[in-house]
Amino acid sequence: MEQVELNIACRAAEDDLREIQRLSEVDINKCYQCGTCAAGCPVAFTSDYNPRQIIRMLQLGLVEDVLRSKMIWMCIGCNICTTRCPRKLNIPRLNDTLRIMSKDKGFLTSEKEINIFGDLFLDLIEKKGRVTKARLALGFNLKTHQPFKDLNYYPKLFFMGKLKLLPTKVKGTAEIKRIFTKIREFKNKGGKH
Amino acid sequence: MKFAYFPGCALQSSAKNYDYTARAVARRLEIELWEIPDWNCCGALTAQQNDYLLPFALAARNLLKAEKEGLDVAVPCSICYKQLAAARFRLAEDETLRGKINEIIGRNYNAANKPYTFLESIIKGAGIKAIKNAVAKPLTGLKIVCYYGCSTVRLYPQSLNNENPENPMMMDQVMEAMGAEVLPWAAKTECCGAGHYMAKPEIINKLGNDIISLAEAANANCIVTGCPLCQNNLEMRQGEMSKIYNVKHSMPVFFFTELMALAYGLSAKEIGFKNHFVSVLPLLDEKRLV
Repeated sequence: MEQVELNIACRAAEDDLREIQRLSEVDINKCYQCGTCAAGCPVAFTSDYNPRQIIRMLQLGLVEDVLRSKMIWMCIGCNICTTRCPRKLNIPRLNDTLRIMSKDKGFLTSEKEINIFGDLFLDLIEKKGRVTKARLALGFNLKTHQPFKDLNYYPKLFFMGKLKLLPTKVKGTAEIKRIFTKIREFKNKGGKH
Repeated sequence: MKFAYFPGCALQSSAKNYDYTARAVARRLEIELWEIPDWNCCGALTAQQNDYLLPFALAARNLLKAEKEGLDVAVPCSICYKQLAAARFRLAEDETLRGKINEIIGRNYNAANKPYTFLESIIKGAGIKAIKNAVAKPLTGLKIVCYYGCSTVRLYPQSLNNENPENPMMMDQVMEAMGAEVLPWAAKTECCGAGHYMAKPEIINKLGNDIISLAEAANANCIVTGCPLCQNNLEMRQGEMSKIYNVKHSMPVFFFTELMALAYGLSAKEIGFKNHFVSVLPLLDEKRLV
Protein backbone atom coordinates (compact mmCIF):
# COMPACT_ATOMS: atom_id res chain seq x y z
CA MET A 1 0.00 0.00 0.00
CA GLU A 2 1.27 3.43 -0.93
CA GLN A 3 1.94 5.77 1.95
CA VAL A 4 0.82 9.36 1.69
CA GLU A 5 1.97 12.21 3.90
CA LEU A 6 -1.40 13.85 4.43
CA ASN A 7 -0.20 17.17 5.83
CA ILE A 8 2.07 17.62 2.80
CA ALA A 9 -0.68 16.50 0.43
CA CYS A 10 -3.16 18.95 1.95
CA ARG A 11 -0.82 21.92 1.71
CA ALA A 12 0.32 21.10 -1.82
CA ALA A 13 -3.26 20.83 -2.99
CA GLU A 14 -4.47 24.15 -1.56
CA ASP A 15 -4.37 26.03 -4.88
CA ASP A 16 -6.04 23.23 -6.81
CA LEU A 17 -8.76 22.92 -4.22
CA ARG A 18 -9.40 26.64 -4.26
CA GLU A 19 -9.74 26.50 -8.04
CA ILE A 20 -12.08 23.50 -7.85
CA GLN A 21 -14.26 25.31 -5.35
CA ARG A 22 -14.33 28.48 -7.43
CA LEU A 23 -15.27 26.74 -10.65
CA SER A 24 -17.77 24.28 -9.21
CA GLU A 25 -19.16 26.57 -6.49
CA VAL A 26 -19.17 23.53 -4.19
CA ASP A 27 -17.61 23.92 -0.74
CA ILE A 28 -16.30 20.45 0.04
CA ASN A 29 -15.47 21.46 3.58
CA LYS A 30 -19.17 21.43 4.36
CA CYS A 31 -19.25 17.65 3.95
CA TYR A 32 -19.23 15.69 7.19
CA GLN A 33 -19.14 12.28 5.49
CA CYS A 34 -22.59 10.99 6.34
CA GLY A 35 -22.53 8.73 3.26
CA THR A 36 -26.13 9.34 2.15
CA CYS A 37 -24.88 10.35 -1.29
CA ALA A 38 -23.05 7.07 -1.71
CA ALA A 39 -26.12 5.10 -0.68
CA GLY A 40 -28.30 6.69 -3.35
CA CYS A 41 -25.77 6.94 -6.18
CA PRO A 42 -26.93 4.79 -9.12
CA VAL A 43 -23.43 4.22 -10.47
CA ALA A 44 -21.52 3.69 -7.23
CA PHE A 45 -21.84 -0.06 -7.76
CA THR A 46 -19.64 0.03 -10.83
CA SER A 47 -17.25 2.77 -9.84
CA ASP A 48 -13.86 2.82 -8.12
CA TYR A 49 -14.92 5.40 -5.56
CA ASN A 50 -18.33 6.55 -4.40
CA PRO A 51 -19.24 10.26 -4.05
CA ARG A 52 -18.49 10.34 -0.32
CA GLN A 53 -15.00 8.98 -0.93
CA ILE A 54 -14.33 11.47 -3.72
CA ILE A 55 -15.12 14.35 -1.39
CA ARG A 56 -13.06 12.81 1.40
CA MET A 57 -10.09 12.44 -0.92
CA LEU A 58 -10.40 16.08 -1.90
CA GLN A 59 -10.62 17.11 1.74
CA LEU A 60 -7.37 15.23 2.30
CA GLY A 61 -5.70 16.93 -0.65
CA LEU A 62 -5.51 13.83 -2.84
CA VAL A 63 -6.48 15.82 -5.94
CA GLU A 64 -4.57 13.84 -8.53
CA ASP A 65 -6.12 10.56 -7.36
CA VAL A 66 -9.53 12.08 -7.81
CA LEU A 67 -8.70 13.48 -11.25
CA ARG A 68 -7.57 10.02 -12.32
CA SER A 69 -10.61 8.24 -10.88
CA LYS A 70 -13.39 6.44 -12.71
CA MET A 71 -16.11 8.01 -10.60
CA ILE A 72 -15.89 11.48 -12.05
CA TRP A 73 -16.64 10.01 -15.47
CA MET A 74 -19.38 7.66 -14.33
CA CYS A 75 -21.47 10.39 -12.70
CA ILE A 76 -24.73 10.68 -14.62
CA GLY A 77 -25.77 14.00 -13.13
CA CYS A 78 -28.97 12.64 -11.65
CA ASN A 79 -28.64 14.77 -8.48
CA ILE A 80 -29.98 12.09 -6.12
CA CYS A 81 -26.95 12.86 -3.96
CA THR A 82 -27.68 16.61 -3.88
CA THR A 83 -31.36 15.99 -3.10
CA ARG A 84 -30.50 13.87 -0.09
CA CYS A 85 -27.33 15.64 1.09
CA PRO A 86 -27.93 17.43 4.41
CA ARG A 87 -25.57 20.20 3.24
CA LYS A 88 -27.03 20.29 -0.30
CA LEU A 89 -23.68 19.83 -2.00
CA ASN A 90 -24.06 19.77 -5.77
CA ILE A 91 -21.85 16.76 -6.46
CA PRO A 92 -22.62 16.46 -10.19
CA ARG A 93 -21.48 20.06 -10.58
CA LEU A 94 -18.30 19.15 -8.71
CA ASN A 95 -17.81 16.17 -11.01
CA ASP A 96 -18.28 18.32 -14.13
CA THR A 97 -15.48 20.59 -12.91
CA LEU A 98 -13.25 17.62 -12.05
CA ARG A 99 -13.87 16.09 -15.50
CA ILE A 100 -12.94 19.28 -17.30
CA MET A 101 -9.87 19.71 -15.10
CA SER A 102 -8.84 16.10 -15.63
CA LYS A 103 -9.13 16.43 -19.38
CA ASP A 104 -7.25 19.74 -19.37
CA LYS A 105 -4.41 18.15 -17.46
CA GLY A 106 -4.30 15.36 -20.00
CA PHE A 107 -4.89 12.50 -17.59
CA LEU A 108 -5.69 9.38 -19.55
CA THR A 109 -8.99 8.13 -18.40
CA SER A 110 -9.80 4.49 -17.93
CA GLU A 111 -13.26 5.34 -19.15
CA LYS A 112 -12.15 6.08 -22.69
CA GLU A 113 -15.52 5.10 -24.16
CA ILE A 114 -17.34 7.78 -22.19
CA ASN A 115 -14.91 10.35 -23.49
CA ILE A 116 -15.19 9.10 -27.08
CA PHE A 117 -18.97 9.29 -26.86
CA GLY A 118 -18.80 12.82 -25.46
CA ASP A 119 -16.38 14.05 -28.11
CA LEU A 120 -18.45 12.53 -30.91
CA PHE A 121 -21.62 14.10 -29.54
CA LEU A 122 -20.09 17.57 -29.43
CA ASP A 123 -18.51 17.11 -32.83
CA LEU A 124 -21.92 16.36 -34.33
CA ILE A 125 -23.39 19.46 -32.73
CA GLU A 126 -20.56 21.59 -34.07
CA LYS A 127 -20.89 20.24 -37.61
CA LYS A 128 -24.64 19.75 -37.94
CA GLY A 129 -26.29 21.55 -35.06
CA ARG A 130 -28.29 18.44 -34.17
CA VAL A 131 -27.43 14.91 -33.17
CA THR A 132 -28.84 11.77 -34.74
CA LYS A 133 -28.47 8.52 -32.85
CA ALA A 134 -27.56 6.73 -36.08
CA ARG A 135 -24.56 8.90 -36.76
CA LEU A 136 -23.56 8.76 -33.11
CA ALA A 137 -23.79 4.97 -32.99
CA LEU A 138 -21.90 4.58 -36.25
CA GLY A 139 -19.09 6.83 -35.10
CA PHE A 140 -18.96 5.24 -31.67
CA ASN A 141 -18.84 1.69 -32.94
CA LEU A 142 -16.04 2.56 -35.36
CA LYS A 143 -13.95 4.51 -32.87
CA THR A 144 -14.22 1.84 -30.19
CA HIS A 145 -13.56 -0.95 -32.67
CA GLN A 146 -16.86 -2.63 -31.96
CA PRO A 147 -18.52 -2.64 -35.40
CA PHE A 148 -21.18 -5.10 -34.35
CA LYS A 149 -22.16 -3.57 -31.04
CA ASP A 150 -25.93 -3.41 -30.59
CA LEU A 151 -26.30 -4.31 -34.25
CA ASN A 152 -29.20 -6.59 -33.34
CA TYR A 153 -31.33 -3.56 -32.43
CA TYR A 154 -30.80 -1.59 -35.62
CA PRO A 155 -33.07 -3.43 -38.08
CA LYS A 156 -36.02 -3.09 -35.70
CA LEU A 157 -35.18 0.56 -35.01
CA PHE A 158 -35.01 1.18 -38.73
CA PHE A 159 -38.38 -0.41 -39.49
CA MET A 160 -40.00 1.51 -36.67
CA GLY A 161 -38.74 4.67 -38.33
CA LYS A 162 -36.65 5.43 -35.28
CA LEU A 163 -33.34 5.48 -37.08
CA LYS A 164 -32.65 8.53 -39.18
CA LEU A 165 -29.92 7.55 -41.60
CA LEU A 166 -29.72 10.95 -43.25
CA PRO A 167 -28.63 13.45 -40.63
CA THR A 168 -30.64 16.63 -40.27
CA LYS A 169 -28.68 19.80 -40.54
CA VAL A 170 -29.50 23.09 -38.95
CA LYS A 171 -29.55 26.01 -41.41
CA GLY A 172 -27.67 28.22 -39.01
CA THR A 173 -24.56 26.01 -38.86
CA ALA A 174 -22.45 29.15 -39.14
CA GLU A 175 -23.98 30.39 -35.90
CA ILE A 176 -23.23 27.09 -34.18
CA LYS A 177 -19.68 27.11 -35.53
CA ARG A 178 -19.28 30.62 -34.18
CA ILE A 179 -20.23 29.41 -30.70
CA PHE A 180 -17.58 26.72 -30.72
CA THR A 181 -14.94 28.98 -32.27
CA LYS A 182 -15.53 31.81 -29.82
CA ILE A 183 -15.35 29.41 -26.89
CA ARG A 184 -12.06 28.01 -28.17
CA GLU A 185 -10.69 31.52 -28.61
CA PHE A 186 -11.69 32.34 -25.07
CA LYS A 187 -9.92 29.25 -23.79
CA ASN A 188 -6.79 29.87 -25.86
CA LYS A 189 -6.51 33.38 -24.54
CA GLY A 190 -6.39 31.79 -21.10
CA GLY A 191 -9.84 33.07 -20.26
CA LYS A 192 -10.87 32.40 -16.69
CA HIS A 193 -14.43 31.56 -15.70
CA MET B 1 -52.58 29.67 -24.68
CA LYS B 2 -49.50 29.62 -26.89
CA PHE B 3 -46.11 28.12 -26.15
CA ALA B 4 -42.91 27.91 -28.13
CA TYR B 5 -42.07 24.24 -28.69
CA PHE B 6 -38.60 22.73 -28.45
CA PRO B 7 -38.72 19.12 -29.69
CA GLY B 8 -35.02 18.28 -29.36
CA CYS B 9 -32.99 15.70 -31.27
CA ALA B 10 -34.52 12.54 -29.80
CA LEU B 11 -38.08 13.48 -30.74
CA GLN B 12 -37.02 13.61 -34.37
CA SER B 13 -36.10 9.95 -34.47
CA SER B 14 -36.23 7.48 -31.60
CA ALA B 15 -39.08 9.28 -29.80
CA LYS B 16 -41.18 10.39 -32.73
CA ASN B 17 -44.26 8.89 -31.07
CA TYR B 18 -43.74 11.39 -28.28
CA ASP B 19 -43.52 14.29 -30.73
CA TYR B 20 -46.61 13.28 -32.69
CA THR B 21 -48.79 12.59 -29.66
CA ALA B 22 -47.58 15.67 -27.75
CA ARG B 23 -48.65 17.89 -30.64
CA ALA B 24 -51.96 16.02 -30.91
CA VAL B 25 -52.63 16.43 -27.19
CA ALA B 26 -51.82 20.15 -27.37
CA ARG B 27 -54.21 20.55 -30.30
CA ARG B 28 -56.97 18.77 -28.42
CA LEU B 29 -56.44 21.05 -25.40
CA GLU B 30 -56.42 24.13 -27.66
CA ILE B 31 -52.85 24.96 -26.78
CA GLU B 32 -50.97 26.45 -29.72
CA LEU B 33 -47.41 25.19 -30.19
CA TRP B 34 -44.93 27.27 -32.21
CA GLU B 35 -41.87 25.17 -33.04
CA ILE B 36 -38.71 27.20 -32.55
CA PRO B 37 -37.32 27.66 -36.06
CA ASP B 38 -33.94 26.11 -36.82
CA TRP B 39 -33.44 25.02 -33.21
CA ASN B 40 -30.12 23.39 -32.32
CA CYS B 41 -29.25 20.55 -29.99
CA CYS B 42 -29.34 21.58 -26.33
CA GLY B 43 -26.04 19.84 -25.66
CA ALA B 44 -27.68 17.29 -23.35
CA LEU B 45 -25.42 16.25 -20.50
CA THR B 46 -22.32 16.23 -22.66
CA ALA B 47 -21.96 19.98 -23.10
CA GLN B 48 -21.80 20.76 -19.39
CA GLN B 49 -19.49 17.82 -18.80
CA ASN B 50 -16.93 19.23 -21.21
CA ASP B 51 -17.15 22.99 -21.03
CA TYR B 52 -18.36 25.78 -18.77
CA LEU B 53 -19.77 28.11 -21.42
CA LEU B 54 -21.06 25.77 -24.13
CA PRO B 55 -24.31 24.65 -22.46
CA PHE B 56 -25.34 28.27 -21.92
CA ALA B 57 -24.50 29.34 -25.47
CA LEU B 58 -26.41 26.44 -27.03
CA ALA B 59 -29.42 27.11 -24.81
CA ALA B 60 -29.37 30.86 -25.41
CA ARG B 61 -29.47 30.48 -29.18
CA ASN B 62 -32.71 28.52 -28.86
CA LEU B 63 -34.36 30.48 -26.09
CA LEU B 64 -33.86 33.93 -27.55
CA LYS B 65 -35.97 33.02 -30.58
CA ALA B 66 -38.87 32.25 -28.28
CA GLU B 67 -38.08 35.33 -26.23
CA LYS B 68 -38.46 37.54 -29.32
CA GLU B 69 -41.99 36.19 -29.71
CA GLY B 70 -42.71 36.71 -26.03
CA LEU B 71 -43.34 33.01 -25.51
CA ASP B 72 -42.49 30.56 -22.76
CA VAL B 73 -41.17 27.23 -24.03
CA ALA B 74 -42.74 23.77 -23.77
CA VAL B 75 -40.02 21.10 -23.72
CA PRO B 76 -41.01 17.41 -23.99
CA CYS B 77 -37.55 15.91 -23.44
CA SER B 78 -36.40 15.86 -19.81
CA ILE B 79 -32.73 16.39 -20.57
CA CYS B 80 -33.44 19.30 -22.93
CA TYR B 81 -35.68 20.77 -20.24
CA LYS B 82 -32.96 20.45 -17.61
CA GLN B 83 -30.42 22.16 -19.87
CA LEU B 84 -32.69 24.97 -21.03
CA ALA B 85 -34.23 25.66 -17.63
CA ALA B 86 -30.93 25.58 -15.76
CA ALA B 87 -29.28 27.81 -18.37
CA ARG B 88 -32.13 30.31 -18.35
CA PHE B 89 -32.17 30.47 -14.56
CA ARG B 90 -28.45 31.10 -14.33
CA LEU B 91 -28.38 33.63 -17.17
CA ALA B 92 -31.24 35.55 -15.61
CA GLU B 93 -29.42 36.07 -12.33
CA ASP B 94 -25.80 36.38 -13.56
CA GLU B 95 -25.36 39.52 -15.69
CA THR B 96 -21.65 38.97 -16.29
CA LEU B 97 -22.21 35.48 -17.59
CA ARG B 98 -25.10 36.68 -19.73
CA GLY B 99 -22.89 39.35 -21.23
CA LYS B 100 -20.24 36.76 -22.02
CA ILE B 101 -22.74 34.42 -23.64
CA ASN B 102 -24.31 37.24 -25.67
CA GLU B 103 -20.85 38.07 -26.97
CA ILE B 104 -20.34 34.43 -27.98
CA ILE B 105 -23.67 34.10 -29.79
CA GLY B 106 -23.54 37.62 -31.19
CA ARG B 107 -27.08 38.39 -30.05
CA ASN B 108 -28.91 39.95 -27.18
CA TYR B 109 -30.61 37.42 -24.96
CA ASN B 110 -32.33 38.65 -21.80
CA ALA B 111 -33.32 35.36 -20.17
CA ALA B 112 -36.86 36.64 -19.80
CA ASN B 113 -38.95 33.71 -20.99
CA LYS B 114 -39.27 30.41 -19.15
CA PRO B 115 -38.89 26.80 -20.26
CA TYR B 116 -41.40 24.29 -18.86
CA THR B 117 -41.66 20.53 -19.27
CA PHE B 118 -44.41 19.59 -21.73
CA LEU B 119 -46.29 18.08 -18.79
CA GLU B 120 -46.18 21.36 -16.88
CA SER B 121 -47.11 23.36 -19.97
CA ILE B 122 -50.37 21.49 -20.54
CA ILE B 123 -51.32 21.84 -16.88
CA LYS B 124 -50.53 25.57 -17.08
CA GLY B 125 -52.09 25.99 -20.48
CA ALA B 126 -55.29 24.02 -19.95
CA GLY B 127 -55.60 22.94 -16.33
CA ILE B 128 -56.38 19.50 -14.93
CA LYS B 129 -60.14 20.01 -15.32
CA ALA B 130 -59.95 20.62 -19.05
CA ILE B 131 -57.40 17.80 -19.41
CA LYS B 132 -59.92 15.47 -17.76
CA ASN B 133 -62.96 16.76 -19.66
CA ALA B 134 -61.30 16.07 -23.01
CA VAL B 135 -61.23 12.32 -22.32
CA ALA B 136 -63.30 10.36 -24.86
CA LYS B 137 -62.17 6.89 -23.85
CA PRO B 138 -61.15 6.38 -20.18
CA LEU B 139 -58.12 4.13 -19.79
CA THR B 140 -59.85 1.66 -17.45
CA GLY B 141 -57.88 -1.46 -16.77
CA LEU B 142 -54.47 0.17 -17.05
CA LYS B 143 -52.47 -0.04 -13.84
CA ILE B 144 -49.85 2.61 -14.30
CA VAL B 145 -46.68 3.58 -12.49
CA CYS B 146 -45.40 7.01 -13.45
CA TYR B 147 -41.68 7.17 -14.09
CA TYR B 148 -40.48 10.75 -13.93
CA GLY B 149 -36.77 10.03 -14.18
CA CYS B 150 -34.20 12.20 -12.48
CA SER B 151 -33.95 15.32 -14.63
CA THR B 152 -37.16 17.29 -14.34
CA VAL B 153 -37.63 17.36 -10.60
CA ARG B 154 -34.11 17.92 -9.37
CA LEU B 155 -32.85 21.24 -10.60
CA TYR B 156 -30.26 22.97 -8.44
CA PRO B 157 -29.75 25.44 -6.91
CA GLN B 158 -33.46 25.95 -7.18
CA SER B 159 -36.25 23.72 -8.24
CA LEU B 160 -38.38 25.56 -10.76
CA ASN B 161 -41.60 23.71 -10.09
CA ASN B 162 -43.22 22.76 -6.83
CA GLU B 163 -42.74 19.06 -7.33
CA ASN B 164 -41.34 16.95 -4.50
CA PRO B 165 -37.99 15.65 -5.82
CA GLU B 166 -38.59 12.20 -4.31
CA ASN B 167 -42.33 11.93 -4.90
CA PRO B 168 -43.57 14.16 -7.72
CA MET B 169 -47.26 13.99 -8.58
CA MET B 170 -47.98 15.93 -11.80
CA MET B 171 -47.90 12.95 -14.13
CA ASP B 172 -49.85 10.87 -11.63
CA GLN B 173 -52.60 13.53 -11.61
CA VAL B 174 -52.78 13.66 -15.38
CA MET B 175 -52.89 9.89 -15.80
CA GLU B 176 -55.56 9.64 -13.13
CA ALA B 177 -57.55 12.22 -15.08
CA MET B 178 -57.28 9.83 -18.04
CA GLY B 179 -59.16 7.24 -16.04
CA ALA B 180 -56.27 4.92 -15.36
CA GLU B 181 -55.38 3.43 -12.01
CA VAL B 182 -52.14 5.06 -10.88
CA LEU B 183 -50.12 3.09 -8.35
CA PRO B 184 -47.56 4.36 -5.84
CA TRP B 185 -44.08 2.86 -6.22
CA ALA B 186 -40.50 3.28 -5.14
CA ALA B 187 -38.69 4.13 -8.36
CA LYS B 188 -40.46 7.33 -9.45
CA THR B 189 -37.28 9.31 -9.76
CA GLU B 190 -34.53 6.69 -9.86
CA CYS B 191 -32.08 7.28 -12.68
CA CYS B 192 -32.26 5.01 -15.74
CA GLY B 193 -28.61 5.45 -16.63
CA ALA B 194 -29.24 8.28 -19.08
CA GLY B 195 -26.30 9.12 -21.31
CA HIS B 196 -24.42 5.92 -20.58
CA TYR B 197 -26.65 4.01 -23.01
CA MET B 198 -23.92 3.84 -25.58
CA ALA B 199 -20.66 3.68 -23.64
CA LYS B 200 -21.80 1.64 -20.64
CA PRO B 201 -24.90 -0.41 -21.51
CA GLU B 202 -24.29 -2.63 -18.50
CA ILE B 203 -25.33 0.32 -16.31
CA ILE B 204 -28.58 0.68 -18.27
CA ASN B 205 -29.21 -3.02 -17.87
CA LYS B 206 -28.69 -2.98 -14.12
CA LEU B 207 -30.63 0.20 -13.40
CA GLY B 208 -33.38 -0.71 -15.85
CA ASN B 209 -33.76 -4.13 -14.29
CA ASP B 210 -34.07 -2.54 -10.83
CA ILE B 211 -36.70 -0.08 -12.03
CA ILE B 212 -38.77 -2.60 -13.96
CA SER B 213 -38.63 -5.07 -11.07
CA LEU B 214 -40.00 -2.38 -8.77
CA ALA B 215 -42.80 -1.67 -11.24
CA GLU B 216 -43.64 -5.38 -11.29
CA ALA B 217 -43.54 -5.48 -7.49
CA ALA B 218 -46.09 -2.66 -7.45
CA ASN B 219 -48.36 -4.81 -9.63
CA ALA B 220 -48.30 -2.35 -12.49
CA ASN B 221 -49.11 -3.54 -16.00
CA CYS B 222 -47.25 -0.66 -17.64
CA ILE B 223 -44.80 2.15 -17.02
CA VAL B 224 -45.48 5.69 -18.22
CA THR B 225 -42.73 8.24 -18.73
CA GLY B 226 -41.99 11.70 -20.12
CA CYS B 227 -38.41 11.35 -21.28
CA PRO B 228 -37.18 9.86 -24.60
CA LEU B 229 -33.96 8.58 -23.07
CA CYS B 230 -35.75 6.93 -20.14
CA GLN B 231 -38.32 5.38 -22.45
CA ASN B 232 -35.69 3.89 -24.70
CA ASN B 233 -33.44 2.77 -21.86
CA LEU B 234 -36.25 1.01 -20.07
CA GLU B 235 -37.83 -0.56 -23.11
CA MET B 236 -35.23 -1.51 -25.68
CA ARG B 237 -33.02 -3.77 -23.59
CA GLN B 238 -35.64 -5.72 -21.65
CA GLY B 239 -34.70 -8.88 -23.52
CA GLU B 240 -31.04 -8.43 -22.61
CA MET B 241 -31.94 -7.59 -18.99
CA SER B 242 -34.06 -10.70 -18.75
CA LYS B 243 -31.16 -12.86 -19.88
CA ILE B 244 -28.56 -11.26 -17.63
CA TYR B 245 -30.68 -11.23 -14.50
CA ASN B 246 -32.50 -14.46 -15.17
CA VAL B 247 -36.00 -12.98 -15.04
CA LYS B 248 -38.79 -12.51 -17.52
CA HIS B 249 -39.49 -8.85 -18.20
CA SER B 250 -42.23 -7.82 -20.56
CA MET B 251 -43.28 -4.42 -19.29
CA PRO B 252 -44.78 -1.96 -21.78
CA VAL B 253 -43.29 1.54 -21.48
CA PHE B 254 -45.42 4.39 -22.82
CA PHE B 255 -44.92 8.09 -23.26
CA PHE B 256 -47.63 9.75 -21.20
CA THR B 257 -48.78 11.63 -24.31
CA GLU B 258 -49.31 8.33 -26.14
CA LEU B 259 -51.85 7.28 -23.53
CA MET B 260 -53.37 10.75 -23.41
CA ALA B 261 -53.82 10.63 -27.18
CA LEU B 262 -55.46 7.23 -26.84
CA ALA B 263 -57.83 8.56 -24.17
CA TYR B 264 -58.58 11.54 -26.40
CA GLY B 265 -59.75 9.25 -29.18
CA LEU B 266 -56.80 8.89 -31.52
CA SER B 267 -56.36 5.51 -33.20
CA ALA B 268 -53.61 3.04 -32.39
CA LYS B 269 -52.26 3.42 -35.92
CA GLU B 270 -52.00 7.19 -35.69
CA ILE B 271 -50.26 7.01 -32.35
CA GLY B 272 -47.80 4.44 -33.64
CA PHE B 273 -48.21 1.80 -30.96
CA LYS B 274 -46.36 -0.63 -33.20
CA ASN B 275 -43.16 1.35 -32.64
CA HIS B 276 -42.40 -0.26 -29.32
CA PHE B 277 -39.73 -2.83 -28.57
CA VAL B 278 -41.90 -4.42 -25.92
CA SER B 279 -45.21 -4.87 -27.63
CA VAL B 280 -47.95 -2.72 -26.06
CA LEU B 281 -50.84 -3.97 -28.19
CA PRO B 282 -51.56 -7.19 -26.23
CA LEU B 283 -52.16 -5.15 -23.05
CA LEU B 284 -54.27 -2.51 -24.80
CA ASP B 285 -56.18 -5.21 -26.65
CA GLU B 286 -56.85 -7.13 -23.45
CA LYS B 287 -58.27 -4.02 -21.79
CA ARG B 288 -60.31 -3.29 -24.94
CA LEU B 289 -58.62 0.06 -25.47
CA VAL B 290 -57.79 -0.51 -29.15
